[in-house]
Amino acid sequence: MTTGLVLPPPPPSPSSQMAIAAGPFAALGLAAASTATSPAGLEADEWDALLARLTDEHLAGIVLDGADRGLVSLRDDQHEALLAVHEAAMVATLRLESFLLVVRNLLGERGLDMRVLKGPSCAHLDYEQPELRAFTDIDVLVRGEQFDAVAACLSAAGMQRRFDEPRPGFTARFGKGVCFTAANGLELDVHRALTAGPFGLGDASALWRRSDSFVLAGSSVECLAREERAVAAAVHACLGSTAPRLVPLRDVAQILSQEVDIDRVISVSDELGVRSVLARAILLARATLALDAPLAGEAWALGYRPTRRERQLLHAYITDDRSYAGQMLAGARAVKGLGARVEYVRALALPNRDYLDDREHRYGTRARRAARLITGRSRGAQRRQDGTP
Amino acid sequence: MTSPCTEPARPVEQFRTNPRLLRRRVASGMVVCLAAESVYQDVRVLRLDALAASVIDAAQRGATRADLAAAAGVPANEIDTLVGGLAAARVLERVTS
Repeated sequence: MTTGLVLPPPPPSPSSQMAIAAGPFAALGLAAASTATSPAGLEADEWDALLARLTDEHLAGIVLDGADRGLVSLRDDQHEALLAVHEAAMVATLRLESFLLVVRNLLGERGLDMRVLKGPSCAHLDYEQPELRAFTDIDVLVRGEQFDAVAACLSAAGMQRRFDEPRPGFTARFGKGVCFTAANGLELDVHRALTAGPFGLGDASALWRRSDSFVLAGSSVECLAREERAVAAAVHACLGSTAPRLVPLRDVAQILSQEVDIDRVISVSDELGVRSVLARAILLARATLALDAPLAGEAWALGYRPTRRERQLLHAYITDDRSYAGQMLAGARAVKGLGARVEYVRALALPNRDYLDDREHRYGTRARRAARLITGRSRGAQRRQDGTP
Repeated sequence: MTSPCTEPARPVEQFRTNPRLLRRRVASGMVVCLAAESVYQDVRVLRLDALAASVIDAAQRGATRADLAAAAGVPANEIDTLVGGLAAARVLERVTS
């Protein structure tokens, strides 16, 4: 018998063990939001902890907006503190949008396609005001067949590629993408897929059939269409970290609270091989943000029964021992076609010398690490199957 | 008979918000940034108070100093320095009709 996606709650992050739950603050302004604790009545240490969490989760703008709407009350000193955080976040956001225009022009001049992911597109198209959605880097999706050309273009423009790939062409075919850093420290994540590992090995062409756009400083910038944005937000929310971050969950709730074709959302998630991820993200958003009303797709998510394989793959992302290496190993099972699978495994097992020198230094060490990951994962899978802790 | 006027009318100086401006509203006013052309991001981000923010909003479609002052709810001579500063910082552009 299979079990549904009403999974055990994700392990709490240290900061989420505080008395004041931050989830309801992330939902402020949504029609389905429940009542959040008003910070005005908090003791100093409670407020300090809450402010740290709201800052870390980039929620200052949402809470200030909630105070303006009378949804929560803030003391003057709390308002000032949040305003300082919000203003700094908006400064960073504008620098990043300016950077995005540079990247768009660089790629556009060379005929390379790009779709904005996450922050700027959600801010301008999904939220009532862009001020409500802060972000700390720029993420763009590029086509797998153009990935190496994009990387070469950005490197030629002076950006530093943060990580090598195990073998030439690996990322363009199997990888999530790569991070570039500009001379001023701003970061650009160039994606081929929405995530690393098995959930990033589906057919990415589903993300390229349609697009939306938004205007930045008079320039139109292309991004994912709304339903595709919903799936991307779900992947980010569910797989981006062991303990789900609040802004990606708010993105999921924000998009699914608007006019959205939920059948299309599910269909896109199916093509990308992330239906179980979408279902889990919808349920996580409802629960973590403490929403009072269901989101679009919630009935479907509640009834979704992930296969045993999907549950195993999810565990490569959501357990405490999650690692990039573990996800890539789990991906070996998801690569379609024997030839492609052999290439995938060969690249990971026998990477080029530079890649190895940055990591395990020796092929033997790398093989032993892989073996530990495989056997550890097998033991974990067995325990989960047995129901033993 | 003398012609009533031989000089052309003086052009009216107008201002409009720089179309390359990126901006966000904050409670104290506005944060703005000029979109950069360089990968090295030689951009400046300015924090502007509520008066400057209202002038920028009013200049969306081009406006005279008097229009901007009226929109901001202050006498025209009180925004001369502000408008000059915003134009010098390329937040506003001069357009002459």
